[in-house]
This record gives sequence, structure tokens and C-alpha cells, in this order.
Amino acid sequence: MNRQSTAEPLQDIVCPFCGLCCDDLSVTRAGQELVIDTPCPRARAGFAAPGADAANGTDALPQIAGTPCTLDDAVAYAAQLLGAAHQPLFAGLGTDVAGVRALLRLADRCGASFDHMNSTAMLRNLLVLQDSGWMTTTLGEARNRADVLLLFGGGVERSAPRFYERLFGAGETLFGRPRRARELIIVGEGEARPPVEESVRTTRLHCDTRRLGEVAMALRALQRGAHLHPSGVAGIALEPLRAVLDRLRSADYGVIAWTAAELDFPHAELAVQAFCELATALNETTRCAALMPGGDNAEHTLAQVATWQTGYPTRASLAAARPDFDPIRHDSARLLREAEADVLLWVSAFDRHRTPPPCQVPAIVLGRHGMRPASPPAVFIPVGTPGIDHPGHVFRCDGVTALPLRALRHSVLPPVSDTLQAVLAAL
Amino acid sequence: MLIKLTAGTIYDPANGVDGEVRDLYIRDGRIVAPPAETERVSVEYDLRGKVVMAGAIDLHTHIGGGKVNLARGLLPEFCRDAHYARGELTRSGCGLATPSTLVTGYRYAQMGYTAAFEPAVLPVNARQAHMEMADTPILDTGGYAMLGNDDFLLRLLREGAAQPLINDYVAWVLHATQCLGIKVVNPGGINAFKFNARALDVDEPNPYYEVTPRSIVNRLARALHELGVAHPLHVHASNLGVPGNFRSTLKTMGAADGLPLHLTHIQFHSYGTEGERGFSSAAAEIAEAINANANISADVGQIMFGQTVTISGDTMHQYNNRRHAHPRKWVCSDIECEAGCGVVPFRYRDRNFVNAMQWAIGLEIFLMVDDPWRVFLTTDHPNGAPFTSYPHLIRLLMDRSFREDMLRQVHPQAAAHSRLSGLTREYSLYELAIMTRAGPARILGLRDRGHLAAGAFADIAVYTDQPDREQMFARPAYVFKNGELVVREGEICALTRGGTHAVKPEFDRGIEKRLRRYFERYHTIRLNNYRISDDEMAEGIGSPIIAAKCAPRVDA
Repeated sequence: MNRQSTAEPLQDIVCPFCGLCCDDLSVTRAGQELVIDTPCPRARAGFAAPGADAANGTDALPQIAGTPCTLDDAVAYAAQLLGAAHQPLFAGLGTDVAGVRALLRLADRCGASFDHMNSTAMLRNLLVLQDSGWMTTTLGEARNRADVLLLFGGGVERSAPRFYERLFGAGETLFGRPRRARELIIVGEGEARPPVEESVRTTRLHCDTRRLGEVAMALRALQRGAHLHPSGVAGIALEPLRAVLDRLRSADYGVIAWTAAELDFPHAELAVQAFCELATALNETTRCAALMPGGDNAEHTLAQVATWQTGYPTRASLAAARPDFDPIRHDSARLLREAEADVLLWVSAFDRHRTPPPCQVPAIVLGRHGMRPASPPAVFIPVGTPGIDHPGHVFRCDGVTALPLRALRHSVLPPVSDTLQAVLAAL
Repeated sequence: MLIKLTAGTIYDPANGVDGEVRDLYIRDGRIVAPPAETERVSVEYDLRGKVVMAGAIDLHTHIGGGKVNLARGLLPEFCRDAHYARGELTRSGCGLATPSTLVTGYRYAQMGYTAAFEPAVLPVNARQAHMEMADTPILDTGGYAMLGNDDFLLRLLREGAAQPLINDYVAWVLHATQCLGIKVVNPGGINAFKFNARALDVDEPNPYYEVTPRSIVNRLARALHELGVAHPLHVHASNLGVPGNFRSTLKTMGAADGLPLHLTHIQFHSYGTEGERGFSSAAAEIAEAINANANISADVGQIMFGQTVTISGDTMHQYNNRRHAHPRKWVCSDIECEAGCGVVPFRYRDRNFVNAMQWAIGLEIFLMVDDPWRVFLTTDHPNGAPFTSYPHLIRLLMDRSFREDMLRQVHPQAAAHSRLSGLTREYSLYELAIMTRAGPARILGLRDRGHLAAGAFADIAVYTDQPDREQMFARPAYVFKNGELVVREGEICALTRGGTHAVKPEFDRGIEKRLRRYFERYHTIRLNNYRISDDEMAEGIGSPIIAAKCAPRVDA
């Protein structure tokens, strides 16, 4: 990899900072500094953080209880803590495929449980997959085919800033002009006109985010031929609801989308289930499919790799020498609160602001360089960021593709995978 | 280090060896000619009374990629009900029908398998498929990239593209996805389902592209032939599971115009409409067609009774099968203008007429196809049954009285309608070795696997000869992978990592210009991030490429 600053921008760079994994960025390097050409705030923030090379690497040193030390010492002490623990907890888990592979190998060896920092949001979708399945589509399929996009929730850009642009932005689609103008229907909070191509007809139906599930259930009831009161549901009258249903029924290819992070209320999986049932039911006569953008800190990467290696996506334990899944018992917040874990391994290689939760047990922290934990953990190892400091892979939110990440600058920061392999070797 | 396997009874059909007692020697991972008497043997295994074969090769088993992982995600109860504890060497894992990748590697090796091939690699998902297979220890793996429902190819066909351009595209996909072959699933039908078509027969045009399944099969079969790729087009034919579909299967065979064609899980495509229930066996018609056409090969996709999960690229038919889901949940997905996938859990019941017929039809095909070089032992794992049922299937094929006993337990109407009781054939060990070793290696173009001559890789399975063939094949005495002992008395004793078999036919790089433009206009991933390099396979993905030989390209 090139150490010198260069004027020639690197093309087709993948952004690992949200589940869309846009791979059309160009990046210009000036030493450790990276300049990217995107309006996306998440990408800008993600690529902006400082790096560490041999010249300015002093704050890249690991620490034991706040005192700088060598990487070997930090690794040895981490192994000692894990070796002595009865119930280790691996949490955070923002890392790439290689990092997850190393984490799970180590977790199996020390009988740890594992839980991603965004599990609460992830499980809103995953519990529905486990309970009833779904009919889904992918970003590319939706971009080319969808003539109607029904969005539950008005805040998709918070999780996936380029969602509208990538689905309904300018540019050609495979099948030319649809029979009728493409239509975007947003149910939820918010006012702003989304940044879609001008020809897209946009409708907003206002309702409280907590009541999105009711709206979906009402649409499903209408689809089955039920009679609803003219006053409608969740503040939306019957007529506009009927219009939405009619539009979905007359669509060539409807897409129903939401971001799990936005559904931040108890039992939101029931709302997700209602969205999925509506999408599935429409296939009796036409085509319709669900799309779940969003996700951050590589949550889909953990879910995919953990599923193929252990059978479970998150919140599982390997303590009994076999995988055990329980979204309540293996919730990291609960394990720490109830003092059931006796050591915490926290990994956050993409986001230096996601520091470990306050806890009474010794913490081993593999944090993105520049992370400042609230209090000095037992072990702190600054690590490189996949796709910036070293190569790697992350999974996109639609689960169909793992994108390759490149190293964009010279770095002394170790990857999570190498660090955890060293810990395993030292156990 | 020289290893000697002494006085085993060797079945090596690729070299015409049928049950001869011989010594084998292994050095540096390969089988070698008998060395000079003066050379010191480092380790010797006494194989008197043991049956020795090359390591088995499964040419059609769903062990990696998005749809397999979706099945795991859909069915956590399958993990809860079947889990495997961590061992001294082995990692923990779970799964009833789609085990976690590590367990998949262990279980295959424990039956004497040393290679397995994922037949439905969605090109955009190839990286994940290879990652999962890289996490499947011991086995060498490989995949067949799915084409024939992708909008790029259908556009080319609609435009009337010349064959050399199709050939370039097929070759480019093989390189980009690091695959060993090409599969087509319900040709044009998965794509048609996205346009809301619910059925598509062999000569019916796709509703948008107006291209027929017949032409898709023909052009892809021709492309592989002209590119010199060893494995023929791997075809999941139209109308899977539909009564009367044997006619479309015969038409699909005809679409090849005499070129090599491999029909996969043909049991699911051999159904007639006779009888009061409108569902009957057409195994005789299908077997007759295979026997009469030397260009056709097939794997069976035998079903076994019990719980499993069906996973397929064929969204059109999986959507239709949702009514049979057990437990009652399922997934269908349209994927990235390439194809799709459907996951439907299923329980085959011996007291169900249709299921019992399916079981009998598979066995009938095994027993009525004359040439064991052109029929392969598969359950289309996990669609017909998990691969762990192979030893039971082997016993059904090798032991007529056992088969008769089983036949008496199934739905009596199905038993009465089946020809199975009249079929006296019993597979020999030699034929079994063809069907599970020599045959798959030959049809995949693997020249130094699947046999035991000097120069071959020392992938070897040693079984203790027992009259109960199920017991015998469930628990080999020894399994060697590249000369290393990995299984002893059915238990894993060492772990190795496999590689990925891939084929690299010649092509005109000019196609990339067109593809790059297509990706930038329509796709949500750039071409540079789509294709997988050899270095990435070895390092990030973790399964180095084993390049298979390719004949010179000959554009007609």
C-alpha cells in the first residue's frame, strides 16, 4: 500500500459505516488524512477520524489500567483475565468478517456469550424471521423494479443516509419507464421532502412511529376484505389507507421498507411482523417484497458469520460447550446488571464513540484508535478500522453481498482479528 | 515421510481396480508408486480386511451461501434440537438439516467425504458462499455459479447476441465468482416470477424478455462446451415438483442438442399424472432417456423420511410450496437482478402417498439407470434429506431385502404403484465407488482426485467391511485428506483446511468494458468490488484456489 500522499483518488471505495455499504466513493489521501467525495454524513464522520502510523503512533499504544504498555503485554494480560474468568461476555462486536471469525473462535474456547451493541434493534427484524419468515428483496432489485415504495417510518436517512438517492434517485433502471410514475409513500413522522427524482410522486401519511404496526395491520385487514371504521387508524382516515392499498395492488413490484433502529418502542417486532405479513399477502395477486435498510457497526456482519458458525446471529452463549440462543438471558446489559458476567471483552473497530458500558467487572477494550473510554479499562488496545487501516469484509443490510474493504493508508494499528488470535494463542 | 497402507481391498474404478488386495504408499500428500525396498516407511496402517476407496465427492450439496444461512436463521429450533459439543479439537455447532459450517466439515469427513460442491452460488453472493465453505474444515469445496435468470444474460439473448459473446460472459462470471461450473435453475423462471408469472414451461417465452427456457439451456450448455469447461451445464429443470413434469425434463434434455448436460435432483423432475391421485412415477421414462442419451448425466436428489428444510434458487416454485411448510414459516427473496432464493422447511412422511412416491421414484432412478458413471448419489442436501443420511441410502441401494423391508413401511398405495419391488438390482462396492468417487471427479474435471493411482492426491477412505452397509459407510476406520489422517474409527483426529476448485477458461477481456458500464448504470455494487481475486480467496476468504484444467476454447 502506498505510504505517500497522492493526488490520484482511489475509486470504488466501500464505506463500511452503515448497512447500505455504498461502494462508489472516491478517496484522496494526504498522509494519514483521507478526503472523500460524498455528502453522506456517516461516511464523512467515519473516514475523518485520525490514523496512526510510525511517525505519530504514540497514542496508538495499548494501555493496562490507563498506563501505556506494549501490545504483547496487553495481549498477555487480556489472556490472563479471560483464562481466569468463569463467564466472559463478548459485546460491542463492531468488526469485520475476520474479526468475527477470531471472536467466535475465542468465545468457543473460553465459553463466552456474545451480543452485538445493536442487538435490540437487530432482533426486531430477526425475531420475525425466526417466527414466521418473510418475502424480501435487495437494493439492486428494488432500485430497478420498484414502482411503489411504501416506507414505514419517516427517519430512514438517519440510519441509511443515501437510501432515497440509491433507490429512487436519478439514473436509469433496467426496465425503462414504468407504466405509471414511480410512487413513494411515507407513513410516519417528519415533513421534509425526501431527495428523490422529481418524477417520483411522494405522499406522506402522518402518524406516531409507535403506531406504524397498527397501520400495517389495518392495510392487511383491508387486503383481506375486512370492513374498517371510516375514521381509520392511528390518525389516518380510511380513504387514504384504501388508496395506499390500491396503489400496492396495482403495482408491478411494490416494496415495503423500514429501519429497525427507528422502531424504538416495546415489542416493535410485532410491527415488523405486520409489515412482513402485508408484503407477503400482496403476492397473492401481484409482486411485493420487504426491504430492511439500516444497521451500523457491522451488525449484519456479526449476524451472518455467527449464524453460519454457531447457528445464531447474536445473544448466544457458548458457555455450555455448545451454542445456546436466548435474546433475554444473553442480553449483555442484563448480564452486566445482574453481575452474571465476570469479564467484558468490548470490540468497536468502526466507531470510537461507542465506548464500553460502565461495569463493575474488568473490561478488555479493543476500540477504534482515538476512543476515550469513560474510565481506564483493565486493558485497552487501539485497533485499526477495517476499510481504512487494513483490508477486510463487511455484509450489506440486504444480506446478499459481502463487500471487500481495502487498506487506504499505512497503519501501525493491529486488526481485531490479529489481536484476538494473539490472545487465543496466549490463553 | 512415507506412509504405507498395507493389504487393503481396493476399489478404484477410474483405474479399473475392482476389489484387489494391494498396498498403497503416500508421500507429501500424494499417492506414490511402490518405493524401493530400501526406503524406510514412517507409518504403516494394516488394512487387511478393510475396503479402500478414494475420498468421496459430493457434487451437489447446499453447504454455503446466503440461502443456507437464511435457513439457519429461519429455524433456530433446528439448532436447539441438534447441537454438537466442543471437543478437544473440534468447535461446537448445531443444526438438524443445515448444520453450522464447522459441523458440516466434521460430519462429511466422518463419513469418508473429502470434497463437496455448492451447486447454487449466486454470483453476487459468491464471496459469502466461499467464506462459509472456507469455514467448513477438511473438505475441498467449489461452487457452480447460477446464470440464466440474470437480466444481463437475458438481455444478451433477447438482442440475439452471438455465441462468442455469451461465451465471454460465462467465462467472465466463472473467473469473477471463482466457480467450477455453471448452474441454471428454472431457466428464465425465477426472472419471470419477478414479473409475476407463476409458471414457465420449456418452450414458453419469458414474459418480459421473450426468451424460452429451451434457448437459455442451449446457449449456456454450448458456452461451457466451447469454453472447454469440464463440468456440463448443471440444470435444475423447469417445473420442479409439478405432477407431469417429466415431460419438461425430457424437453430440457432435448434442449442440449446432444451437448453434455447434467440434470440435477432429477427425482423432483420425474413425476407423472397417472392414477386416481394424479401423481405417479415417471422414473422409467426418465431412466430410459438417460440410458439412451450418452450426453446426459444426473444426480438423484433422493428424499428420506423425516424433517428437513428445502432451499432453492427457484422462488417461483418455492413460493408455491409455502403451503407445505412444516413448521409453518418460510422465506422467499428476489435477489439483485440475478436470481432469488426460497427456503421452505419440510417434513417428508412415509405414510403420505406423495412423499412415499417421491422416495420410491428416487430409488427407481438409481436402479434403472444402467451406467453408474452417469448417475450420482445425492439427496440434494438438505432438500431431499440431510447429507448425514447417505449411509442409509447406500444400504437401500446395496441391500435388496433391506429395501423391501423399508418399502413395506411406506404408504401401501404408493408401494403398490411403484416398480421398486420388481427391481432386483443391488449396487456393488465397485459401482458405489464409481457413483460417489470416480464419477463425480470425472464429470467435474478433477484429474487428481477420486482415484488411487500414483500422482493422485491422497484423499482416501478406509471402511471396515460389514454386511450392514449403513454401519459400514457411517463410520470409516480411517480417512486421509491430502495424506494426513483426519478421521480414526469415525472420530476426528486432526483438522486440515481445504481449498477451492475453480476453472479459468479463456475469454476476451473486452467484455469487461460492457459489464463495467452495465454495473455502473444498474447495479448497486461496482464491478471491481464484485469480482473475487485469487489473492482474496487465499487471504481474506481463507480458501486458496485449486485451478482445474480447462480444454482449449473453440468458438464454433
